[in-house]
Amino acid sequence: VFRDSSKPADVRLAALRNVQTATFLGPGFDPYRAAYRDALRAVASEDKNQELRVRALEILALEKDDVARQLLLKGFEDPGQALVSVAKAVQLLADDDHGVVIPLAHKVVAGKYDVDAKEEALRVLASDPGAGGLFAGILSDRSQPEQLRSVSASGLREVDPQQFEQVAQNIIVDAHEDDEVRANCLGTLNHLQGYSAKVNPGFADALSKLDLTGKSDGLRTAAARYLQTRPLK
Amino acid sequence: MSVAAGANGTPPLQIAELVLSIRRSPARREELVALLAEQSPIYRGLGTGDAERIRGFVLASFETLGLPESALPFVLEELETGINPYTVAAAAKALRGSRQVSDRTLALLVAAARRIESNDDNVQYDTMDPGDRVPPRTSALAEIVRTIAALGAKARPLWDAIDAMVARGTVSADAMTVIEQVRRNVSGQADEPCCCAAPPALVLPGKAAVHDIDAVALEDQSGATFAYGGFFLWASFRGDVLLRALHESPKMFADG
Repeated sequence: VFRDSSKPADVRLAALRNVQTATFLGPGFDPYRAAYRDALRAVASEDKNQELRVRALEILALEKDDVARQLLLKGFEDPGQALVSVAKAVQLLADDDHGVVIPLAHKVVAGKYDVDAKEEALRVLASDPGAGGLFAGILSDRSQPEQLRSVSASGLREVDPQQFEQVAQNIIVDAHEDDEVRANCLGTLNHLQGYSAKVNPGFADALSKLDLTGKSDGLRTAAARYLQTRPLK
Repeated sequence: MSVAAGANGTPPLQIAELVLSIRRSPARREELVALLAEQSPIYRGLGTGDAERIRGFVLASFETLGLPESALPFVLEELETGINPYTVAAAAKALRGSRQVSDRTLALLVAAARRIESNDDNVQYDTMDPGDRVPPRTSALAEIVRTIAALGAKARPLWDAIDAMVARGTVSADAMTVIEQVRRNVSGQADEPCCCAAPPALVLPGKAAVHDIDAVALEDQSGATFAYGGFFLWASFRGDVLLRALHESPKMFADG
């Protein structure tokens, strides 16, 4: 029924939901697994109903299916054929294999894509050891959207904690910086383990002397929390 | 072509063309063996799925080209440890190009069938494109069964394992059709009624299927079955016993 394009979409969707429930039968579903995947691939590849195509694609992508990966990559090559947004495609491809999606994520960050797509791409790049410079550049760049700078803070903390600490401390004590980015840097710095388990006395002093009057609650709370929980180096 | 080009490797489209050209020139089959080495530059920058697809496409070529000795370790490795139905079935197909199959290899075929039994998939090896819907597809498990059948009388002891799979009810209709065909060929009695049949229609869990959750039957990894309600009663009982023992003899626990 799910595969039959002559049936109403809601009936097909209900059939899909029922079969998805049946996948939890474990061995009881095994005889039908290959046919189920085939149906999903057929619908994702060539069905007239866009919603059903997307549903099938998402299910396949979570199973790391080759056809799903092919369709997602086709969407990058030819946006006219894209079934899902670039942000969603990056997210689904990242489920499959970070190694494969990393070059693509770099292209998205460097290309003319929307902020949501770039945000997803930056999340993926947190597993790329070579992305430190990119994260540091975005985090330090005030012309970049706050969303991207905050994600870059988390990414830089992952790939180069020492550089992150340096860049983040400069941002946090800069009164002209965006409150949200400062608060996110403080929060991320607070989660650093190992290298920065203890706070730098100079930074703690500068932070305690900051005039946060009129600044956001998030920033003031983050600053107070940071200073309370950290022993001095 | 489905697969993305690796970071610095050969684009998969070119690899597919190369493999297809070698399929037309059996004298060049050793060139394919070089493509199976994991260190080969063709895999640079590719994800697991793409690498598996290339390996499967290459392995399946040996069915018609003949399996050279140098490729056998790759076939055995896949049968022994592979979990991707596409690649495992390709290794089984490759064995059909072998002149001799050892008993150890036969055992590996059965182990491979068991490994992919719960993850069967429809496969084709005419093209490397996973999205190509033109070539006919067949179940990966069916490919393994075909190989076992092709090995003739030598593989007859393996049928017990296939029978066990059928009895578990985990075999797809496609694989079941192949099993039945092979049985008929082996027995030479086409009209003989077969105990095997296509799997029954899928019964979806309905809302009214279970009235009392305590009566739901559970099965553990050893195959033992027990009621849902009974299990938690027993677990709770064991917890009580442990707590009481801890309370009464704390030193015993402290001393280990």
